[in-house]
Amino acid sequence: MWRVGLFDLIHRRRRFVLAVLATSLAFGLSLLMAGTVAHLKNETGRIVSLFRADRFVVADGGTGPFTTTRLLRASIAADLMHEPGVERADAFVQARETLKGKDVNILGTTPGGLGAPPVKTGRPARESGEAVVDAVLGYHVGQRFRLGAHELTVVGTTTNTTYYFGQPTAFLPIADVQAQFLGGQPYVTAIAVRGTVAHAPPGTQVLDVAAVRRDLNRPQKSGTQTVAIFNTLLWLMAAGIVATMVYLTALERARDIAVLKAMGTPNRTLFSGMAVQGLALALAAVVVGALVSRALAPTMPFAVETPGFAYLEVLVVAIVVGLVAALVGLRRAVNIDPALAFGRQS
Amino acid sequence: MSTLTLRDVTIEYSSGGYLVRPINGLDLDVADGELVLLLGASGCGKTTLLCALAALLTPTRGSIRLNETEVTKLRGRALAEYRRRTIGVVYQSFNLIPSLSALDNVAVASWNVGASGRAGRDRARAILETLGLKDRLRHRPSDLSGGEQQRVAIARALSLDPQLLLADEPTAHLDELQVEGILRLLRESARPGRMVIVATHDDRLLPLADRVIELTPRRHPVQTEPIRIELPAGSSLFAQGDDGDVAYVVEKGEIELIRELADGREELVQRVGAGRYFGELAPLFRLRRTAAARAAVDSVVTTFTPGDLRSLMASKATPSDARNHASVAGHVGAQRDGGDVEAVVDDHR
Repeated sequence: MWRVGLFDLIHRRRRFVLAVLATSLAFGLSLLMAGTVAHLKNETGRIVSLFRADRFVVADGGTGPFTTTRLLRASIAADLMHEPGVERADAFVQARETLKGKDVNILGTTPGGLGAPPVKTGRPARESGEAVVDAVLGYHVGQRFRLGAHELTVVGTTTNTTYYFGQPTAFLPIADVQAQFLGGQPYVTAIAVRGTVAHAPPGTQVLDVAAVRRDLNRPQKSGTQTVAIFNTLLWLMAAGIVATMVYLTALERARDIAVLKAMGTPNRTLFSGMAVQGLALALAAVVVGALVSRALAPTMPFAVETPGFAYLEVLVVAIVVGLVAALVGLRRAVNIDPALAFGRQS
Repeated sequence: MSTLTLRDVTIEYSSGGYLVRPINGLDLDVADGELVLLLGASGCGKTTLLCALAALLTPTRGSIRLNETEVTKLRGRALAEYRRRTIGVVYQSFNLIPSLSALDNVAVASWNVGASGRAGRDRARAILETLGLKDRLRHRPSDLSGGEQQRVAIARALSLDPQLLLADEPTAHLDELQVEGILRLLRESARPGRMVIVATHDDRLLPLADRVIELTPRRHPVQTEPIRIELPAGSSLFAQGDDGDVAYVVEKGEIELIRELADGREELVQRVGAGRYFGELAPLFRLRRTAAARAAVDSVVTTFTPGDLRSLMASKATPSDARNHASVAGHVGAQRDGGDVEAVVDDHR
């Protein structure tokens, strides 16, 4: 009897297509949001991993190395090198600036040291006045740009170094950043350490990689929670569209349903017909939604990295939505008097 | 061998808060292979009775027995099984599923009892080909003529070889050419192992039937001479739902016209005093009494046939009164034996 539901859907194909398009927008946006949230989490992991460090030393009482505004003496890095368990310790300075109208992370790192980015094109920055920039910024090798009073030359580009809500990063020699942002004072914002640090130097604290990621994710938390709420709302919207479609169909098919009931069709069989409709609509919307999300992804201000489980999640949501919609339709069908088949309501 | 037995079947339902009793104490026996015609005007209860036979509504009282099965007692799975396999129904407006082809509309009955898609279609194809619809198998209802749609509906009703075929006004939407084929099909459907009951108001179908059951109240021959009836206080003159053959003029006392409500209470429609008359619509239009009449005090009424009453009105009513009476909606004054006679319409439908 599921065929009856399927043929009815084909019979109402225009409405079906419209409902699929509307629902697919909800599912597509849901996938885009999932992709955006995933990107925000992934970029945090990527920038921390780029340092190839096991520990980060920051000023005591401050937050993580990418969010703190407290400074350390640069000499602590050299002191740490003599500590047992420390293989390497490189200081870096983190600052923010605006380039080409975009907020940009500025990282002053030791050339060839921890935090120096892998270059995609060109070469690493070695001398003062050289920079390696994220390709998102749109600079090409050899291009010159101004950072405050200094003019810098792009000697290389890198990728996947955005963080803090998708902001691209410019990597400069540490001395240039100190000169730009700290008045040339020998201070740094953090020290990346490969190995272990048995005792934190006075006035500092030691954070492991997980703590640094948590700290960098913290400012994004409210944003990702908001996205999760919107996601739930979108799922509800999709459920509403599918349920409305199935319910309206049940309303319009009242006479058909009455005839089927007069023929002794049990409710579970009626449910199967409606479930076919709800599931077909919801699953078709997932497919179209996935295509919509892929089509819209390049237009989003953030990179979209929709993980595989998000598709699975939307698929499960679609199945639930389809079945719930069928239940809504069934509720209507149960109340239809089979005597309506005779044109009367008892 | 199939037999259908109805005993004292009464069906009541609520309509606008009032109790309606279209079927009142009906007894009926239908023999195996018989085609019975339920004949009657709109509203006389034909379709309601078919609904009860199809187990779509339960009578208020009485028994419907098909062979050994008491239909009124069926519940749950047994009820569904009865509707699936024992009954086939042909509806006035065909009631084919618009999204399905003719083939699938018939196959639905087989799918409904668990047949596979292919088995259902094979069975449906065989029946439709028998009914001359071989070239219409893939057509949707909207692409079929009324007669073809009704043949598909009959094929659907017959596809599981039911013991009882019910047809509700099967020719209502058909032209004369189409009617002929449908009548032949219905006639041929009544055969050993199957009974056919057709509800219609179309008396052209009379020759089709083995037996005709008239559900519209019959006009019984009545005394041409008025009868004087004395009614002690509280006694009933007639009940709601009774056939009505005469109108009444109140000579003395007061008559209450009372209508039953769906919740069991009664509603006083009107009190009719001396010199007024009531109850003329039932005999005039062959309707059942839509209210009961009861003496409020010791009363005397006189019966009049509709003809007598009309003559009385024509000879003694004023012109304006006659116009009012034609509207059969209110009170009409008429001179009778020197006194005023006022009509009270009892059929407030």
